[in-house]
Amino acid sequence: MQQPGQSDDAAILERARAGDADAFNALVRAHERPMYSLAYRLLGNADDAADAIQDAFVNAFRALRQFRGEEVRPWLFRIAVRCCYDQLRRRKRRREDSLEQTSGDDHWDPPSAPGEGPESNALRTETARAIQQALMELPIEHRTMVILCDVQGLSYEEAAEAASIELGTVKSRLSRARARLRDMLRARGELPSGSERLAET
Amino acid sequence: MLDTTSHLTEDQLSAHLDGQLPETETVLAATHLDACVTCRSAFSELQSTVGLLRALPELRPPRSFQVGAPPASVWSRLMQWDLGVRGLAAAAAALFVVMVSGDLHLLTSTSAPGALPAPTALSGAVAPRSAAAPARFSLTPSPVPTSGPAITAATPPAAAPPAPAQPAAAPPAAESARSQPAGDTAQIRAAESKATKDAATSASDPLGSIRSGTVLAGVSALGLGALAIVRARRRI
Repeated sequence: MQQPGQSDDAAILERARAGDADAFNALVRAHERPMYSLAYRLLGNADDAADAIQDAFVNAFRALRQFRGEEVRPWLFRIAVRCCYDQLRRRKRRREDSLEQTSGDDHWDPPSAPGEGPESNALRTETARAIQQALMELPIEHRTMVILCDVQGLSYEEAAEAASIELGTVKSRLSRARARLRDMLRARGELPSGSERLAET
Repeated sequence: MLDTTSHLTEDQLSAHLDGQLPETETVLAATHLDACVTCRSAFSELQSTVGLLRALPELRPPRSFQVGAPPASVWSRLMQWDLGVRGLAAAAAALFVVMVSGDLHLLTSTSAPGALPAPTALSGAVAPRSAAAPARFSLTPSPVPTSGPAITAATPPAAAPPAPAQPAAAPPAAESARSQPAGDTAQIRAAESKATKDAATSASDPLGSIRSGTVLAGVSALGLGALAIVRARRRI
Protein backbone atom coordinates (compact mmCIF):
# COMPACT_ATOMS: atom_id res chain seq x y z
CA MET A 1 0.00 0.00 0.00
CA GLN A 2 1.42 3.39 -0.92
CA GLN A 3 1.67 5.67 2.05
CA PRO A 4 1.57 9.43 1.87
CA GLY A 5 5.09 10.75 1.81
CA GLN A 6 6.50 7.55 0.38
CA SER A 7 7.52 9.25 -2.85
CA ASP A 8 9.34 11.97 -0.94
CA ASP A 9 11.41 9.35 0.79
CA ALA A 10 13.81 8.78 -2.09
CA ALA A 11 15.15 12.33 -2.15
CA ILE A 12 15.35 12.56 1.61
CA LEU A 13 16.97 9.15 1.69
CA GLU A 14 19.72 10.31 -0.61
CA ARG A 15 20.54 13.21 1.66
CA ALA A 16 20.35 11.05 4.75
CA ARG A 17 22.77 8.57 3.21
CA ALA A 18 25.21 11.40 2.68
CA GLY A 19 25.18 11.91 6.43
CA ASP A 20 22.59 14.67 6.69
CA ALA A 21 21.07 14.16 10.11
CA ASP A 22 18.25 16.58 9.41
CA ALA A 23 17.25 14.50 6.41
CA PHE A 24 17.35 11.39 8.52
CA ASN A 25 15.19 13.09 11.11
CA ALA A 26 12.71 13.89 8.35
CA LEU A 27 12.51 10.16 7.69
CA VAL A 28 12.05 9.55 11.39
CA ARG A 29 9.20 12.02 11.54
CA ALA A 30 7.53 10.45 8.52
CA HIS A 31 7.75 6.91 9.87
CA GLU A 32 7.83 7.07 13.64
CA ARG A 33 4.09 6.73 14.08
CA PRO A 34 3.64 3.57 12.00
CA MET A 35 6.87 2.21 13.50
CA TYR A 36 5.70 2.86 17.02
CA SER A 37 2.24 1.49 16.29
CA LEU A 38 3.79 -1.65 14.87
CA ALA A 39 5.90 -2.08 18.00
CA TYR A 40 3.03 -1.35 20.34
CA ARG A 41 0.79 -3.88 18.62
CA LEU A 42 3.58 -6.45 18.77
CA LEU A 43 4.74 -5.83 22.33
CA GLY A 44 1.58 -4.61 23.99
CA ASN A 45 3.00 -1.83 26.09
CA ALA A 46 4.22 1.67 25.50
CA ASP A 47 7.61 1.55 27.23
CA ASP A 48 8.81 -1.56 25.44
CA ALA A 49 7.50 -0.24 22.13
CA ALA A 50 9.26 3.10 22.53
CA ASP A 51 12.53 1.42 23.54
CA ALA A 52 12.35 -0.96 20.60
CA ILE A 53 11.71 1.83 18.11
CA GLN A 54 14.43 4.01 19.58
CA ASP A 55 16.81 1.11 18.99
CA ALA A 56 15.37 0.57 15.53
CA PHE A 57 16.01 4.14 14.42
CA VAL A 58 19.52 4.12 15.80
CA ASN A 59 20.20 0.85 13.97
CA ALA A 60 18.66 2.30 10.83
CA PHE A 61 20.85 5.37 11.09
CA ARG A 62 23.94 3.20 11.37
CA ALA A 63 22.88 0.95 8.50
CA LEU A 64 21.85 3.79 6.24
CA ARG A 65 24.98 3.89 4.14
CA GLN A 66 24.62 0.20 3.34
CA PHE A 67 20.93 0.43 2.46
CA ARG A 68 20.52 0.26 -1.32
CA GLY A 69 16.79 -0.27 -1.63
CA GLU A 70 14.29 2.35 -2.67
CA GLU A 71 11.42 1.57 -0.36
CA VAL A 72 12.16 2.84 3.10
CA ARG A 73 9.16 1.51 4.93
CA PRO A 74 9.66 -2.26 4.54
CA TRP A 75 13.32 -1.77 5.38
CA LEU A 76 12.48 0.21 8.52
CA PHE A 77 9.82 -2.31 9.47
CA ARG A 78 12.31 -5.11 9.10
CA ILE A 79 14.63 -3.38 11.55
CA ALA A 80 11.69 -2.61 13.82
CA VAL A 81 10.51 -6.23 13.89
CA ARG A 82 14.00 -7.39 14.81
CA CYS A 83 14.25 -4.82 17.57
CA CYS A 84 10.81 -5.83 18.87
CA TYR A 85 11.90 -9.46 19.04
CA ASP A 86 15.03 -8.39 20.90
CA GLN A 87 12.88 -6.40 23.28
CA LEU A 88 10.66 -9.44 23.85
CA ARG A 89 13.71 -11.53 24.65
CA ARG A 90 14.97 -8.93 27.09
CA ARG A 91 11.56 -8.77 28.69
CA LYS A 92 11.47 -12.52 29.07
CA ARG A 93 14.92 -12.53 30.64
CA ARG A 94 13.95 -9.77 33.04
CA ARG A 95 10.91 -11.73 34.04
CA GLU A 96 12.88 -14.92 34.54
CA ASP A 97 15.42 -12.99 36.58
CA SER A 98 12.72 -11.61 38.80
CA LEU A 99 11.07 -15.04 39.04
CA GLU A 100 7.83 -13.40 38.16
CA GLN A 101 5.16 -15.91 37.21
CA THR A 102 3.12 -14.77 34.24
CA SER A 103 1.64 -16.54 31.30
CA GLY A 104 4.09 -16.34 28.45
CA ASP A 105 5.38 -13.07 27.07
CA ASP A 106 1.99 -11.70 26.37
CA HIS A 107 1.16 -9.36 29.17
CA TRP A 108 -0.03 -6.07 27.80
CA ASP A 109 -1.20 -2.64 28.81
CA PRO A 110 -4.00 -0.94 26.95
CA PRO A 111 -2.81 2.24 25.26
CA SER A 112 -3.36 5.21 27.48
CA ALA A 113 -5.63 7.90 26.14
CA PRO A 114 -2.84 10.44 25.48
CA GLY A 115 -1.00 7.84 23.43
CA GLU A 116 -3.77 7.57 20.90
CA GLY A 117 -4.22 9.94 18.05
CA PRO A 118 -7.38 11.77 17.13
CA GLU A 119 -8.22 9.01 14.68
CA SER A 120 -8.77 6.66 17.57
CA ASN A 121 -12.42 7.47 17.07
CA ALA A 122 -12.23 5.24 14.00
CA LEU A 123 -12.87 2.31 16.29
CA ARG A 124 -14.60 2.11 19.63
CA THR A 125 -12.01 2.06 22.37
CA GLU A 126 -13.40 -1.15 23.86
CA THR A 127 -13.26 -2.86 20.49
CA ALA A 128 -9.69 -1.69 19.94
CA ARG A 129 -8.74 -3.04 23.34
CA ALA A 130 -10.45 -6.35 22.70
CA ILE A 131 -8.52 -6.68 19.44
CA GLN A 132 -5.22 -5.80 21.10
CA GLN A 133 -5.90 -8.34 23.82
CA ALA A 134 -6.70 -10.98 21.21
CA LEU A 135 -3.52 -10.08 19.30
CA MET A 136 -1.47 -10.63 22.44
CA GLU A 137 -2.82 -14.16 22.70
CA LEU A 138 -1.45 -15.12 19.30
CA PRO A 139 2.00 -16.69 18.98
CA ILE A 140 4.45 -13.91 18.20
CA GLU A 141 5.14 -15.12 14.64
CA HIS A 142 1.43 -15.12 13.81
CA ARG A 143 0.89 -11.81 15.55
CA THR A 144 3.68 -10.32 13.48
CA MET A 145 2.05 -11.38 10.23
CA VAL A 146 -1.39 -10.10 11.02
CA ILE A 147 0.01 -6.78 12.24
CA LEU A 148 2.23 -6.31 9.19
CA CYS A 149 -0.40 -7.29 6.63
CA ASP A 150 -3.72 -6.26 8.13
CA VAL A 151 -2.94 -3.49 10.60
CA GLN A 152 -0.06 -1.89 8.69
CA GLY A 153 -1.28 -2.84 5.23
CA LEU A 154 1.93 -4.36 3.88
CA SER A 155 1.75 -6.62 0.85
CA TYR A 156 2.68 -10.28 1.25
CA GLU A 157 6.04 -9.54 -0.36
CA GLU A 158 6.74 -6.58 1.92
CA ALA A 159 5.69 -8.59 4.96
CA ALA A 160 8.00 -11.43 3.91
CA GLU A 161 10.87 -8.97 3.73
CA ALA A 162 9.97 -7.26 6.98
CA ALA A 163 9.75 -10.53 8.90
CA SER A 164 12.65 -12.15 7.03
CA ILE A 165 10.58 -15.20 6.02
CA GLU A 166 9.43 -16.90 2.83
CA LEU A 167 6.34 -15.78 0.95
CA GLY A 168 4.61 -19.13 1.52
CA THR A 169 5.20 -18.82 5.25
CA VAL A 170 3.58 -15.39 5.21
CA LYS A 171 0.42 -16.83 3.67
CA SER A 172 0.09 -19.75 6.05
CA ARG A 173 0.89 -17.74 9.18
CA LEU A 174 -1.45 -14.99 8.14
CA SER A 175 -4.33 -17.35 7.50
CA ARG A 176 -3.83 -19.11 10.83
CA ALA A 177 -3.56 -15.84 12.68
CA ARG A 178 -6.70 -14.48 11.07
CA ALA A 179 -8.68 -17.64 11.76
CA ARG A 180 -7.62 -17.65 15.41
CA LEU A 181 -8.41 -13.97 15.80
CA ARG A 182 -11.79 -14.45 14.17
CA ASP A 183 -12.62 -17.20 16.67
CA MET A 184 -11.50 -15.08 19.62
CA LEU A 185 -13.35 -11.97 18.47
CA ARG A 186 -16.47 -14.00 17.79
CA ALA A 187 -16.29 -15.45 21.29
CA ARG A 188 -15.99 -11.91 22.69
CA GLY A 189 -18.98 -10.72 20.70
CA GLU A 190 -16.95 -8.31 18.58
CA LEU A 191 -18.09 -9.75 15.26
CA PRO A 192 -21.55 -9.33 13.74
CA SER A 193 -23.74 -12.32 14.64
CA GLY A 194 -24.56 -14.97 12.07
CA SER A 195 -28.06 -13.67 11.41
CA GLU A 196 -26.78 -10.11 10.91
CA ARG A 197 -24.28 -11.39 8.43
CA LEU A 198 -26.78 -13.41 6.52
CA ALA A 199 -29.10 -10.45 6.43
CA GLU A 200 -26.30 -8.41 4.87
CA THR A 201 -25.56 -10.97 2.21
CA MET B 1 -6.83 -27.21 -7.33
CA LEU B 2 -10.12 -26.66 -5.58
CA ASP B 3 -12.83 -29.21 -5.19
CA THR B 4 -16.11 -27.28 -5.37
CA THR B 5 -17.88 -29.80 -3.17
CA SER B 6 -15.55 -29.77 -0.14
CA HIS B 7 -15.27 -26.74 2.16
CA LEU B 8 -12.65 -24.12 1.57
CA THR B 9 -9.60 -24.27 3.82
CA GLU B 10 -8.58 -21.37 6.05
CA ASP B 11 -5.60 -20.75 3.75
CA GLN B 12 -7.91 -20.52 0.75
CA LEU B 13 -10.36 -18.22 2.54
CA SER B 14 -7.53 -15.96 3.66
CA ALA B 15 -5.86 -15.84 0.25
CA HIS B 16 -9.21 -15.30 -1.46
CA LEU B 17 -9.89 -12.37 0.81
CA ASP B 18 -6.66 -10.77 -0.39
CA GLY B 19 -7.26 -11.70 -4.02
CA GLN B 20 -4.18 -13.88 -3.85
CA LEU B 21 -5.62 -17.12 -5.23
CA PRO B 22 -4.66 -18.11 -8.76
CA GLU B 23 -7.29 -17.11 -11.29
CA THR B 24 -8.87 -20.53 -11.72
CA GLU B 25 -9.04 -21.11 -7.98
CA THR B 26 -10.64 -17.70 -7.49
CA VAL B 27 -13.50 -18.68 -9.78
CA LEU B 28 -13.97 -22.00 -8.04
CA ALA B 29 -13.83 -20.39 -4.60
CA ALA B 30 -16.44 -17.83 -5.58
CA THR B 31 -18.68 -20.57 -6.93
CA HIS B 32 -18.31 -22.57 -3.74
CA LEU B 33 -19.01 -19.56 -1.53
CA ASP B 34 -22.23 -18.94 -3.43
CA ALA B 35 -23.36 -22.46 -2.74
CA CYS B 36 -22.04 -23.11 0.79
CA VAL B 37 -23.51 -21.27 3.76
CA THR B 38 -20.85 -22.58 6.15
CA CYS B 39 -17.96 -21.27 4.06
CA ARG B 40 -19.80 -18.04 3.33
CA SER B 41 -20.27 -17.46 7.04
CA ALA B 42 -16.63 -18.24 7.78
CA PHE B 43 -15.50 -15.98 4.96
CA SER B 44 -17.74 -13.16 6.09
CA GLU B 45 -16.43 -13.38 9.64
CA LEU B 46 -12.91 -13.36 8.31
CA GLN B 47 -13.69 -10.21 6.36
CA SER B 48 -15.09 -8.58 9.50
CA THR B 49 -11.99 -9.55 11.45
CA VAL B 50 -9.65 -8.07 8.87
CA GLY B 51 -11.87 -5.00 8.68
CA LEU B 52 -11.50 -4.46 12.42
CA LEU B 53 -7.72 -4.88 12.23
CA ARG B 54 -7.49 -2.33 9.44
CA ALA B 55 -9.53 0.11 11.50
CA LEU B 56 -7.18 -0.02 14.47
CA PRO B 57 -5.94 3.49 15.17
CA GLU B 58 -2.37 4.51 14.58
CA LEU B 59 -0.77 5.32 17.90
CA ARG B 60 1.17 8.41 18.77
CA PRO B 61 4.62 7.70 20.22
CA PRO B 62 5.21 8.94 23.76
CA ARG B 63 8.39 10.65 22.57
CA SER B 64 10.10 11.59 19.37
CA PHE B 65 12.79 9.30 18.03
CA GLN B 66 14.78 11.87 16.12
CA VAL B 67 18.50 11.54 16.48
CA GLY B 68 20.52 14.31 18.04
CA ALA B 69 22.90 16.02 15.69
CA PRO B 70 25.08 18.44 17.53
CA PRO B 71 25.85 21.14 16.85
CA ALA B 72 23.43 21.87 14.00
CA SER B 73 20.25 21.28 15.96
CA VAL B 74 21.37 22.66 19.28
CA TRP B 75 20.24 26.16 18.50
CA SER B 76 16.72 25.18 17.50
CA ARG B 77 16.33 23.17 20.65
CA LEU B 78 17.59 26.01 22.75
CA MET B 79 15.04 28.28 21.17
CA GLN B 80 12.32 25.97 22.36
CA TRP B 81 13.58 25.41 25.84
CA ASP B 82 12.97 28.56 27.72
CA LEU B 83 14.86 27.37 30.73
CA GLY B 84 17.90 26.55 28.68
CA VAL B 85 17.81 29.90 26.98
CA ARG B 86 17.64 31.72 30.25
CA GLY B 87 20.37 29.68 31.83
CA LEU B 88 22.66 30.12 28.88
CA ALA B 89 21.79 33.78 28.62
CA ALA B 90 22.88 34.36 32.16
CA ALA B 91 26.02 32.33 31.65
CA ALA B 92 26.94 34.02 28.39
CA ALA B 93 26.31 37.45 29.82
CA ALA B 94 28.48 36.60 32.78
CA LEU B 95 31.32 35.43 30.57
CA PHE B 96 31.11 38.48 28.37
CA VAL B 97 31.09 40.77 31.31
CA VAL B 98 34.12 39.08 32.72
CA MET B 99 35.92 39.47 29.42
CA VAL B 100 34.95 43.08 29.00
CA SER B 101 35.62 44.07 32.55
CA GLY B 102 38.87 42.14 32.43
CA ASP B 103 39.95 44.24 29.48
CA LEU B 104 38.82 47.41 31.15
CA HIS B 105 40.67 46.48 34.24
CA LEU B 106 43.81 45.82 32.28
CA LEU B 107 43.52 49.26 30.78
CA THR B 108 42.80 50.95 34.06
CA SER B 109 45.12 48.72 36.10
CA THR B 110 42.49 47.79 38.64
CA SER B 111 41.53 44.33 39.80
CA ALA B 112 38.13 42.64 39.84
CA PRO B 113 38.31 39.60 42.09
CA GLY B 114 34.52 39.41 42.32
CA ALA B 115 34.21 38.47 38.68
CA LEU B 116 36.44 35.44 38.77
CA PRO B 117 33.86 32.76 39.64
CA ALA B 118 31.92 33.45 36.46
CA PRO B 119 33.89 31.28 33.99
CA THR B 120 33.52 28.32 36.29
CA ALA B 121 29.80 28.83 36.42
CA LEU B 122 29.68 29.16 32.67
CA SER B 123 31.34 25.86 31.92
CA GLY B 124 28.84 24.25 34.22
CA ALA B 125 25.91 25.93 32.53
CA VAL B 126 26.82 25.34 28.95
CA ALA B 127 28.04 21.78 29.05
CA PRO B 128 24.79 20.07 30.04
CA ARG B 129 22.73 22.25 27.76
CA SER B 130 24.79 21.61 24.66
CA ALA B 131 23.74 18.09 25.39
CA ALA B 132 20.19 19.12 24.72
CA ALA B 133 20.40 16.40 22.11
CA PRO B 134 17.86 13.97 23.46
CA ALA B 135 19.54 10.81 22.40
CA ARG B 136 20.98 8.23 24.67
CA PHE B 137 23.21 7.70 21.69
CA SER B 138 25.35 10.40 20.30
CA LEU B 139 25.44 10.48 16.56
CA THR B 140 27.74 12.95 14.95
CA PRO B 141 27.21 13.12 11.22
CA SER B 142 28.59 16.03 9.29
CA PRO B 143 26.63 19.01 10.50
CA VAL B 144 24.41 20.66 7.96
CA PRO B 145 23.00 24.02 8.83
CA THR B 146 19.29 24.01 8.25
CA SER B 147 16.44 25.03 10.40
CA GLY B 148 16.62 22.38 13.03
CA PRO B 149 14.06 19.62 13.40
CA ALA B 150 11.05 20.39 15.46
CA ILE B 151 10.84 18.48 18.67
CA THR B 152 7.44 16.93 18.78
CA ALA B 153 7.26 14.98 21.96
CA ALA B 154 8.27 15.91 25.46
CA THR B 155 8.97 19.47 24.56
CA PRO B 156 7.82 22.28 26.80
CA PRO B 157 5.70 25.01 25.22
CA ALA B 158 7.45 27.43 22.91
CA ALA B 159 10.03 29.66 24.46
CA ALA B 160 8.75 32.69 26.27
CA PRO B 161 10.75 35.89 25.90
CA PRO B 162 13.94 35.90 27.94
CA ALA B 163 13.86 37.21 31.45
CA PRO B 164 13.14 40.94 31.55
CA ALA B 165 16.40 41.63 33.33
CA GLN B 166 18.35 40.38 30.30
CA PRO B 167 16.46 41.61 27.26
CA ALA B 168 19.20 41.01 24.70
CA ALA B 169 20.77 38.05 26.37
CA ALA B 170 19.16 35.09 24.61
CA PRO B 171 21.13 35.16 21.36
CA PRO B 172 24.52 35.14 23.12
CA ALA B 173 23.41 31.87 24.57
CA ALA B 174 23.62 30.29 21.18
CA GLU B 175 26.98 31.82 20.57
CA SER B 176 28.49 30.26 23.61
CA ALA B 177 26.78 26.97 22.91
CA ARG B 178 28.28 26.80 19.47
CA SER B 179 31.68 27.60 20.81
CA GLN B 180 31.64 24.41 22.81
CA PRO B 181 33.39 21.38 21.33
CA ALA B 182 30.83 19.79 19.08
CA GLY B 183 31.40 16.12 19.58
CA ASP B 184 32.02 15.99 23.28
CA THR B 185 29.96 12.89 23.91
CA ALA B 186 30.52 12.86 27.63
CA GLN B 187 28.84 16.21 27.86
CA ILE B 188 26.20 15.31 25.36
CA ARG B 189 24.95 12.47 27.47
CA ALA B 190 24.44 14.66 30.47
CA ALA B 191 21.27 16.36 29.27
CA GLU B 192 19.41 17.29 32.38
CA SER B 193 17.44 20.47 32.64
CA LYS B 194 17.95 20.33 36.38
CA ALA B 195 21.65 20.78 35.87
CA THR B 196 20.95 23.79 33.74
CA LYS B 197 18.70 25.24 36.34
CA ASP B 198 21.35 24.87 39.00
CA ALA B 199 23.99 26.26 36.75
CA ALA B 200 21.82 29.17 35.74
CA THR B 201 21.29 30.05 39.34
CA SER B 202 24.96 29.97 40.14
CA ALA B 203 25.81 31.79 36.95
CA SER B 204 23.61 34.74 37.75
CA ASP B 205 25.23 35.30 41.11
CA PRO B 206 28.45 36.89 39.87
CA LEU B 207 26.42 39.41 37.93
CA GLY B 208 25.61 41.24 41.07
CA SER B 209 29.22 42.07 41.68
CA ILE B 210 29.75 43.71 38.31
CA ARG B 211 29.06 47.30 37.58
CA SER B 212 25.68 47.58 35.90
CA GLY B 213 26.84 49.92 33.14
CA THR B 214 29.37 47.39 31.93
CA VAL B 215 26.78 44.63 32.04
CA LEU B 216 24.30 46.48 29.89
CA ALA B 217 26.85 47.57 27.34
CA GLY B 218 28.42 44.16 27.08
CA VAL B 219 25.22 42.19 26.85
CA SER B 220 23.70 44.50 24.27
CA ALA B 221 26.75 44.37 22.03
CA LEU B 222 27.04 40.62 22.21
CA GLY B 223 23.30 40.22 21.67
CA LEU B 224 23.33 42.24 18.49
CA GLY B 225 26.33 40.36 17.18
CA ALA B 226 24.82 36.96 17.90
CA LEU B 227 21.51 37.93 16.33
CA ALA B 228 23.30 38.86 13.15
CA ILE B 229 25.15 35.56 13.11
CA VAL B 230 22.02 33.55 13.76
CA ARG B 231 20.14 35.26 10.95
CA ALA B 232 23.01 34.67 8.61
CA ARG B 233 22.99 30.97 9.49
CA ARG B 234 19.28 30.70 8.86
CA ARG B 235 19.65 32.07 5.38
CA ILE B 236 22.11 29.35 4.43
